[in-house]
Amino acid sequence: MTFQLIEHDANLSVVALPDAVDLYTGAGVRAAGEALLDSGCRYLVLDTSAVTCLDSTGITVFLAFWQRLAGTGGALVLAVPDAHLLRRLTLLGLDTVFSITPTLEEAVVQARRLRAHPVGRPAAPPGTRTEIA
Amino acid sequence: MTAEREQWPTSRIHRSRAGREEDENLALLFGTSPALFASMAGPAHVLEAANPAFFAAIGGGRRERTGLPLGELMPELAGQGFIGLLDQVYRSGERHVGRDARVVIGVGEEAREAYFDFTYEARRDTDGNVIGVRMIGVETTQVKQARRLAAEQRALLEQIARQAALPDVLDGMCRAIEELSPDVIVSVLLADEDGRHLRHGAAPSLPGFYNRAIDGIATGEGVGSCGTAAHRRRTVIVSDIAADPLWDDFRDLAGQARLAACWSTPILARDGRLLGTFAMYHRAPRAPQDTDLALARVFADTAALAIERHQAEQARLAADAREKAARDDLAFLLTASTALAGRLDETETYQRLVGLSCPALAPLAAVDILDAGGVRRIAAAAPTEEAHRLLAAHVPARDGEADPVARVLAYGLTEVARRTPTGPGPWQDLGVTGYACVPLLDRGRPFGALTLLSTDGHSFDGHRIALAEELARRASSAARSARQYEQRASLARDLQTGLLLPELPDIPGARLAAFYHPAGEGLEIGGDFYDVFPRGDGSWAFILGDVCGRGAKAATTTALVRHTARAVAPLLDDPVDVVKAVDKALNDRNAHQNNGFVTLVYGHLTPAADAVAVHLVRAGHTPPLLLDADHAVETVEAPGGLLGIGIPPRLACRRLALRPGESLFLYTDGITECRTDTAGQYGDARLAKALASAPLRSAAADIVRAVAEDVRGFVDGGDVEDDQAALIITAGEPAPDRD
Repeated sequence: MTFQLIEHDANLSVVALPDAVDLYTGAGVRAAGEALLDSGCRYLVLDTSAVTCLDSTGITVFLAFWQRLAGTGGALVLAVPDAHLLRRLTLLGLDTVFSITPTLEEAVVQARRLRAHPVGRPAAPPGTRTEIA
Repeated sequence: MTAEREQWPTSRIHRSRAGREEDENLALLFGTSPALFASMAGPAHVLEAANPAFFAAIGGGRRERTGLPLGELMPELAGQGFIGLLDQVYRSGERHVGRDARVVIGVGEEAREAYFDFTYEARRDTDGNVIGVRMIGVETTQVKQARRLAAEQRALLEQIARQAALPDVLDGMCRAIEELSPDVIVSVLLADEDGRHLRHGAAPSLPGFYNRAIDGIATGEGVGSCGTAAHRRRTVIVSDIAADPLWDDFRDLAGQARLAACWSTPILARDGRLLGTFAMYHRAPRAPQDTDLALARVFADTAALAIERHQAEQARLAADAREKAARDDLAFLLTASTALAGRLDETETYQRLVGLSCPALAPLAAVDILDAGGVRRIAAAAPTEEAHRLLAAHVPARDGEADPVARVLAYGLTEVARRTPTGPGPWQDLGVTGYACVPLLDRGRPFGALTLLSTDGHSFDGHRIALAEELARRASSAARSARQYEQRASLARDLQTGLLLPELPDIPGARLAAFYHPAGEGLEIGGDFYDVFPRGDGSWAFILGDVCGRGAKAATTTALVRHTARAVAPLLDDPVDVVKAVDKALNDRNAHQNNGFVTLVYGHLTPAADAVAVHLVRAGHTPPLLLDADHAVETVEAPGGLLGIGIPPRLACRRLALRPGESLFLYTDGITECRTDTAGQYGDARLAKALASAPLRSAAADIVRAVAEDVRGFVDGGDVEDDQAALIITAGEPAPDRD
């Protein structure tokens, strides 16, 4: 299983991460994500539901995505259904850095909301769901 | 011919007045026909008429006459039954038909063998009385010979196709020709690869001394018929050896072998290359007829086929042998590479090297290396223990020129000799007869030498030396890797040691213990670290953290974190400020990189009368655990994000008091996140259990040991993927000393 693009809609991409994002796969995941960002993605949704192994290299990859997206006014949204992974991200203080939701659906909704109303503007109802099928 | 003969059946013979006239006509009719015709009269078979073909067939010359009984004209016929046959036809009037009948015509030296299809039929007078016998025949000698020749040829070609041995094919060919032409002696000489000399090939009927004498003659003008034919690439006819200048140098030899004529035809390959010569000898001076030369050409071509086939086969075998040798070499080197691969230390590498060399390349092998200015024998291999002892104990002379090892170490060039090495050594006892000394090179500089020693019946050819050099190259590279690996591991150990506290300080009112287990085999510098140091006012600072990544970069980050903390801790009372200073230092450094982060727990310890006051900050790190006197475990929650990513970590200080017997346990997630294929993740629960399992009132060191042992048991000898570090601070008077 590798970095898998499951949705790509203008500047919003939804990606499923492999089961391991670590020392061995981190570079590949990072390169694939950077390529997406290079091609104009501003709102990146990462589905972590398959991730069982995330080490400091993996965290660094998330941070690299986040730093680039934050720099362009975009956002990184993580769907983290696993409580253990959520706990680790929370301990790292990353729950306040990234936008984290328990499901992929909510993550996509969140990303659309952020796109429709960038930080600083009042939040509005979620974007049309049909757009992402 | 057969059809022609069929036109003359008895029943259709025109009966004229007199058989005699008729036969004279027939004789005229046959005229110059190749068919033989003869008419005989009376019981004595007096030859009345015959055509020129008949006279030619029976030898011509004085035999060309009529009016004599056939038995007188050709006395040889009686003994062969032909007169009897004529008598029979004359008596019975019944026709006799003979096919392929063998007739020896002539007597003595002039006799020749011939074959005929013929008819004897009765000549009758007008009353039907037999008055004589008429013979009509066709000589089939050439047809028969051609047929036999073709059969022989076919047999030879089959032999060639079956890839029979060349000598057998050539020998068979000679014998076949000699059988076809009984007065011919055949010889085949084979050209050397350079085409300048002729070697004995086959000559079953020539005397051995003759064959030996001409074996190896040079090709050239005047070197008999064969040497000249090979040189000229044309057939050379010597019809009288006694008179021909080409045979000047060989005349006596030919005389001894009773050879009088020799016609030699070069055997040429399809590409014109000289393969040999095909010679036909005669015991009497004789010039060849067209048919003889045709025969020679046919067999020279057959021989060419056989020789070319043989050469192709030899070339194939040689290529196969070369290929097999190359495969064997490759297999040897592959085995060697495999044996030299893997994690070996330098000494093991040399031991493998001598093990691979002996006995594959030589019965005795040794490796010497340069060590602290001297030469050290580091490995040896020999077939017996005694030989091994002698070989291992010998140290080559250190003098620059006295010993081959010293020379090879000085110049880096292989040395090979078929004598014992110069300089003293147990050569006599080992039975050494020669040696090959091959350098072990590191980027062109010799650092050691592989010495192969030969004993009786063993020598070093170029091929073996090449293998030894290749093996030495691979071993050198393996030794170099091993050395580098050892150096890197030792560097990592040194750096790690420098980064870690040699020993934890003694703090009044508290006992400290730590645990550190780097991932892998100690080659890389880990990312985990801890430190405990005084702040100068009676309080202490402690820190335990995890730097993202490994290696030199992680080491510099670790150093930055520790040194920053140590520098600012005495000045800042709030641990939050110290950690912020660390975060700033990291962010300043990471301004252009944005890819390294640090998690840590930092705190201050202030020993007091009844408890140790702890102020701590957690920055993205696994939360510390609080272990009460009954070893109940509680997590110390504190908000705070990781450091070095350029955003404020939102830190908050936690205050706690460690009462005697209570411990604060700090650890990195290398412990809780470590996993095995079978047992899954170690996890928080198991850690809590391990902590609780330590005997109550244990010393800090015992609690750490309990955790370390439990983790080790969990991993069960497997590789730890991440560093593991833990620091425990236990308050109060230590438990009774168990050391």
